[in-house]
Amino acid sequence: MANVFIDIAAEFTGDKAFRKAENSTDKLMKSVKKLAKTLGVAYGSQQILAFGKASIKAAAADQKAQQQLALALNNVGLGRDAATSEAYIQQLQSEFGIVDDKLRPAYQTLAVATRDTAKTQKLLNLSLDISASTGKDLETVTAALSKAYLGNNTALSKLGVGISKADLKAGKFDDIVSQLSTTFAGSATAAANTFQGSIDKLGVASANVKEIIGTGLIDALTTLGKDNTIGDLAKDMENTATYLADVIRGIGVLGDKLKATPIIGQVFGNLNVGMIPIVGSYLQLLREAGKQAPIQKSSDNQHLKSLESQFKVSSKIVNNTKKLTAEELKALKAKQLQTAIDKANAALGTASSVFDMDKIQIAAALTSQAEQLGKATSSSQQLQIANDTARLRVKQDILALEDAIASKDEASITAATNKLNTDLKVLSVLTGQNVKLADIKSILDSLKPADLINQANLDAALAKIKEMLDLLAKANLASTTKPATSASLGSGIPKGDFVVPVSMKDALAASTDALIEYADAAAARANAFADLLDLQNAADLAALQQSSIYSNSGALQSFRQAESATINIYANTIANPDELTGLIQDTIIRLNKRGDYLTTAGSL
Amino acid sequence: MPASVKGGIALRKALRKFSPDLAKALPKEVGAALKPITKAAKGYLPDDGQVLSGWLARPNSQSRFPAYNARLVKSGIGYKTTPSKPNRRGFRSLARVFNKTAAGAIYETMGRKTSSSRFVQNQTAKYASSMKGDDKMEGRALFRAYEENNGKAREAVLKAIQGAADKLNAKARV
Repeated sequence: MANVFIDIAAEFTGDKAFRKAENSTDKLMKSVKKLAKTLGVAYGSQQILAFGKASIKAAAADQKAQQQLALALNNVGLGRDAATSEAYIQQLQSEFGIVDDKLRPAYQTLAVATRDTAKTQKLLNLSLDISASTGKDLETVTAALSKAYLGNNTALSKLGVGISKADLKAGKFDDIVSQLSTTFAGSATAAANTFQGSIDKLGVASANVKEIIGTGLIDALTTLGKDNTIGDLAKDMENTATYLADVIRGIGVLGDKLKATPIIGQVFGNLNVGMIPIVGSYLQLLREAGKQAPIQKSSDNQHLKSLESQFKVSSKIVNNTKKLTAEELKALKAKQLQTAIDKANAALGTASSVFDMDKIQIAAALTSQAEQLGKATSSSQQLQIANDTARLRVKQDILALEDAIASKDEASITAATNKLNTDLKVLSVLTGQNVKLADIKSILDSLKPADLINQANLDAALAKIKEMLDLLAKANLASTTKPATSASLGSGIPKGDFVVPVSMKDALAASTDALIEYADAAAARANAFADLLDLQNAADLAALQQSSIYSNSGALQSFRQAESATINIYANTIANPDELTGLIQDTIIRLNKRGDYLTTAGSL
Repeated sequence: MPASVKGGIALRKALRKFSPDLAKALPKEVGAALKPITKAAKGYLPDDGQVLSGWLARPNSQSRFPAYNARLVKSGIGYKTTPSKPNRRGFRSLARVFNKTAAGAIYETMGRKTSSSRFVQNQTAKYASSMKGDDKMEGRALFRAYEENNGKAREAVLKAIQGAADKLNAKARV
């Protein structure tokens, strides 16, 4: 199989072996968990702990449900009957074998609809009968009855209670209820007396046992924990359950041993833990201590009684609140009056601003700007007007802000500040545009061609030259030492001294030797004069160096000091040698291909 | 050796979820970086007329040796920007160039081990681009193109991934 590839970038995601190991570990963990569950069945302490937890949970849920019902009753004005209602529910529970978890919501639904305890209890009884007879659940029946009480009979007709829709529409609720009571009378009691009813009662008793034990556990553990932290409570729960399990297991072992003993086994055939020697007496003692301890029985409804007392207190609070509300209303009216006065003051302030000269001037300026805007012909003019208008508005805003600050009105200060900020932003934008226009204008001006002959410029230049000459003259005058001359330095050349040329007549008359001698003498004299001329130049240079002209002329001085001038001409590289070669080659190729007016194509 | 990247696959997922535009742009950018390699590699492959006549497909041939078809071999060179399955060492490729046809692979690697074989000698005498690369990365088409690319593609791929991650992070901060 061809497998030619190149991975440019790759990511390590883990080896297969690692994944296998991971999967194996997961499987092992699951197996261990299953094993632990299987073994857990054998651990009595774990089961007891679970029961303890469930009991505590049931007790807590029961208390919560009681409190919720009490709160609901309180909200509909039946708070004073909370304890009575709970007692009634407990009674129904034991009588009909229906758990309070179902009875409480049913009672609550009816109580909310009727807002009357007697009617609620009567309808709940009827609901129990209908539920037992029709097989509908209690929740549905109570919902239908509560709706019927409020005038909606549709749900009741759906229950199949043997009343036609026409009768339901025409009849009053009381008539319907009496008819239903007749129809379903004793159904709940009859159902409770059946075998299923007995089982239900046992179920209710079991649930109650759980709740009672849970309540006891909560009390006991709270006492053991000595503080209210959940961590300690949980720890104590586990310790107690383990200890209790060991004790129960020990009792079981003890009972078994006693039963196995020939004589004792016959005596204690029906084993009762209270009858076990020593252990039984200790357990009796524990029971007495437990009875005397401040336990919270669910049937006592202590918390509901406290709720009733709270209801009385809350009534007082409501009365006090009403009084307070009346006082608050007075304060509110006073505040409204003050607000109206403030508004009037603000209006007066506005009126006084009519005579404010600053404001008048700004208003006039704004009007003028508006007129100019109408006359503006170019965009730059419009921009300028907009700019001025924005400035005026900023000024106006500043005045408005000052007024707002003086009025100490927070809202108006905020509004004025916001307006000022907005106008400042507008102004900044316009100013930016103005700057841009100015830039453009300067650029345009720079593009204008300069005058070649400008009389004014010439005059200015001449004036400048004249000024420079004057300055130079002043500098010469200011020099205290006169510039040295050749005469002063003593070059030795007499003024007007020169060799008079020999005339033709004298030359023809003179002898050759004489002429030669004369020529030699003239050459010697000329050489002497040349030497003197060199001396003269040196003297002139020295004189120049001593003069103020030399010292004032930087260019001359630098030229003198440099002795010799070196002129460098820098020419940029025309092209890279390679590029140049390439260019030449390209040119040759092009010429060879296309030719030009000097070379025919293909001639190269 | 491929460049090792951390979080490349997570980045792909995050891009798909939070920035679909970037998720679409990243493979395009990576593809643009890899394309020069595949283009050059296709150029190094011989045409049908440049291979031994016996290597070309013949009608009714019972030969199991992969026949050379220039069109198919050239179309078998390409690139991939989606993550591959993990290899034996647990690496997943994020960007890959491949020469997937059997005939292409033969041309790519022929003579690595058996340079004196008759087939290699005859094909080399007729036409063969020079081999470039080292060891297992030595070849005539794809490996040569990758070698001549001088790591530009790799740098561009890594830059694209890093750029996408930076953009995503920048979006996340906003």
